[in-house]
Amino acid sequence: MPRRVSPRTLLHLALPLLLLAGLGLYYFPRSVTTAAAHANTTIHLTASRGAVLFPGDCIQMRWEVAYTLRVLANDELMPAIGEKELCIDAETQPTLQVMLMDESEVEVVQPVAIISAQPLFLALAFIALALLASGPSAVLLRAAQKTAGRESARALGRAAGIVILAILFTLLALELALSAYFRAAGNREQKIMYLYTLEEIRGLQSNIVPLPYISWAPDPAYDGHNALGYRGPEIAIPKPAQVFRIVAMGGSTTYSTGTPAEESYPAFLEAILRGEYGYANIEVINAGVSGYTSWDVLPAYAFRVVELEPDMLIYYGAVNDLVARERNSVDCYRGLNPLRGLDANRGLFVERNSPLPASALYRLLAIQLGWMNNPLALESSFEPSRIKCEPDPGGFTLEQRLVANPPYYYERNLRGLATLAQSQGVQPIFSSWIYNVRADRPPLWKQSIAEHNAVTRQLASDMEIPYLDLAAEFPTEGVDWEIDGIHLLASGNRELAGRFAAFLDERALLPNPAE
Amino acid sequence: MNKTDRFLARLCLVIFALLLTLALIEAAANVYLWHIASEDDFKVLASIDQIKARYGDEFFVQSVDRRQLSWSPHPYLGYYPTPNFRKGENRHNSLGYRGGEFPLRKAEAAYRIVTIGGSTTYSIDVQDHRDSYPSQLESHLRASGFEGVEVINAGIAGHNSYHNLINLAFRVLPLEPDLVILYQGWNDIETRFVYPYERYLGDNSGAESPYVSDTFMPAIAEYSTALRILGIRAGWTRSHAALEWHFGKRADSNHMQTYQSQFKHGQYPRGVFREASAMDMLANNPPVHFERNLLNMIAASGQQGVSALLVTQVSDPNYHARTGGRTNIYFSSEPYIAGMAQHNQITRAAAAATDAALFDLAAVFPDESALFTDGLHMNRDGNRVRAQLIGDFIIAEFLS
Repeated sequence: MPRRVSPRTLLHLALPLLLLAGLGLYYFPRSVTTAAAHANTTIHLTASRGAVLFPGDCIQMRWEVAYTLRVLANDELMPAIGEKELCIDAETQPTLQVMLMDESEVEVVQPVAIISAQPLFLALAFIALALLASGPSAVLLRAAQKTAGRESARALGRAAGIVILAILFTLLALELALSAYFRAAGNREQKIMYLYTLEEIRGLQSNIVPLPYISWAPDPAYDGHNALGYRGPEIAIPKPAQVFRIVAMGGSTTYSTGTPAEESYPAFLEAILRGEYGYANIEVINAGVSGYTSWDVLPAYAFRVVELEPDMLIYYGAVNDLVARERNSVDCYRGLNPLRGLDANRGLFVERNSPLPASALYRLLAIQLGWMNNPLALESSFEPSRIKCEPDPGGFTLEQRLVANPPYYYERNLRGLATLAQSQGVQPIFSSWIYNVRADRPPLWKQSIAEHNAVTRQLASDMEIPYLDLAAEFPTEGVDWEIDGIHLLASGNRELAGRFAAFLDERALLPNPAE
Repeated sequence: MNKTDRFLARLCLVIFALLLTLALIEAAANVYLWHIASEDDFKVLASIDQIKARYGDEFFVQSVDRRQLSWSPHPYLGYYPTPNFRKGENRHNSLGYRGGEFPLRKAEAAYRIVTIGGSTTYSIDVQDHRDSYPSQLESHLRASGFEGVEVINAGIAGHNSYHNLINLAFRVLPLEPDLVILYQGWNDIETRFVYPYERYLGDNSGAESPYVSDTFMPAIAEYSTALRILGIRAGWTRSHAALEWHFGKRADSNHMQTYQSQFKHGQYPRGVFREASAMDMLANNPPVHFERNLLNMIAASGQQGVSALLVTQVSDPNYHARTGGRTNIYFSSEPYIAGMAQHNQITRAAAAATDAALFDLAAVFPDESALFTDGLHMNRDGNRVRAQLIGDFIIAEFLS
């Protein structure tokens, strides 16, 4: 007699699926936004998901603040419009601390629920498990009861077969549903976590490549970069005999983020020196790399830039060195601690090579249970140094830290840079670093930049390095800045280059154009 | 019995058979691992629990966090000695230097010497940090009447002149040393094992890859020995034994390990070495970067008023022939002998061209294989002889 699986058994198998689907719907990655207004300041804070499944799951927080003196996103100094990744737990919720124009502070929180911590979730999961377990047991039990003797083994086998098939079917259905869901409705993070292969994730990464000793350098394959990984046209190696080669080092303000390669300040400098001053054999190489601090510039000079056989080295930068001063506790920055001034958050460049499993279902489980690394870590690229620093006494603010952590590593690294250049017969050129003085910046930030500029000036004087005080002479009107007040637009880069060109010409630091 | 029943019954049989087979394979894999595999293979193929079962927790020091190993990630050096590391008689201090604590600020009367180099400075083949060459150098100088001398061991195994320059700038000069000792050259031979030749670049990206900080074995591979062996052999996952060295990864154009493996097994030259022999690689990749890094180190020290002492590096090319030892047997082969000689020659020339002092240890070190462990690294006695020779030179040149 052909047996049929009873509707009740089917219900037992189907109900858990329905429950899981319901949970999936609840887990739907919809974003949530909080808006607030204080006087003329408006604040919008968005979390890419209103709920996460487990504590430690990460979301993307985005914000836009108009009229503010300073924005801290979960204690990190940030631009007024920005985004960052945040891993949620009970204590860590997307939080903006906004300094209003009258220097008072307001805090805006966009709560993100943690589903697994909620009673409803636990209850539902329990019911689903119970149903899932009772279905197969009922099938087995009934088979055992209804048959006897020789038949019983076969019946049991058949029942077990149904159970295995049902589980396989459930898993397959879940797998298909999950991958279809993430493909259609998943946000970028979920696609990275559950769908993309290692190669696809790498393809999403930015325009830099990791390097030993130096952390990273511009990716030669990226538009506007040359084969040696510098921004601009190809560079002849060895250097042609008649060429006088100037290399401009620094961070994103030298790289000239926000403008095309041919409108960067080093590109303008070359054009102006050749066109307006007649130095036909001058070549200016843009060796600026976004995010470089003085810690990066020193090895980048020692291992990369010297290979270009430079005749002159222009260093222009300061702001990136503020990060380690702001973020490190006093102990990490200058205590009896192996970090000693290294940015505690700036870890090792991580490169993971194990291929990622293709199954979205497996990845969902494995990431939550810690069986595999979260592929999102591929994107962040840095593994923190795992050094524990003592917290600041009484919980310093960022600004108090700036005061407590003086720029002496900046001084040391810059001194090292100039020493190497001078010992190799390369002429160093230093300058003060400029920003839009009309931009809203906290007074201590401005003071810290001034400290760095003072260090640079003093070093230039100690080591007899020509020094251009841009901060003293750069026009406050008629120059275009990015909204951050740090990066110049094309007209600003031209202005900056013009100042350098006039300085080099005036001081007769370049070979005579007639020669 | 209908068709469905028969199908299901067979399916169950097949699944049962499969499970039984897998269980047998698993059992066989365990028998192989525990009773047949060599010690080295065991370390490579075992799970964390199996390694602990055989060697105890000591194998993964401070195994609460299995990543807490003798080396820790460093953003510029790749890795450096894990601060506060303890294993038997070995120890690192709280700043990540091998040996005891020292004050960050040098005492007024102290004469501070910092030794820079690779495993030969770290003195990796002596377990007790007090047997290292820097520690014995300190004892020797103090016993000779120079009580105020302190010697800091800033050596890091595997480090070449690139690392040493960064180490000098970021970790050594801030200690306000009076003297730095540079003992290097051997590890720079590896930076020249690069082919194709256009990959031999000034940033060493042809020999070294960006640092890798993590290894992850899928959980199931921790439990199933058969799956783990398959996974490691097929390259799906990396071995726990490799954990220590994941910080310094090699580029695919670096052929040193291939050379070592071929030489050890009497298979050299095969593969890439048919196109370019190891000696061809050394000839086509001249030691210009070693020279550049060395000159930069001398300049950086000199600018801070720190004396630099260059010491030529000692090796014993006859070690394996004399002792019959097999450890690192390729160290006695031609590329290493030639490379070491070239680098020592550069060291001598750099001292002649700059203010740096030179002690030609390689020229005066006793020709006794009993002082070595593999023809390069020294045992306790070797470190003592080295410390005495260097110490007597320092007394004559810097302390008298």
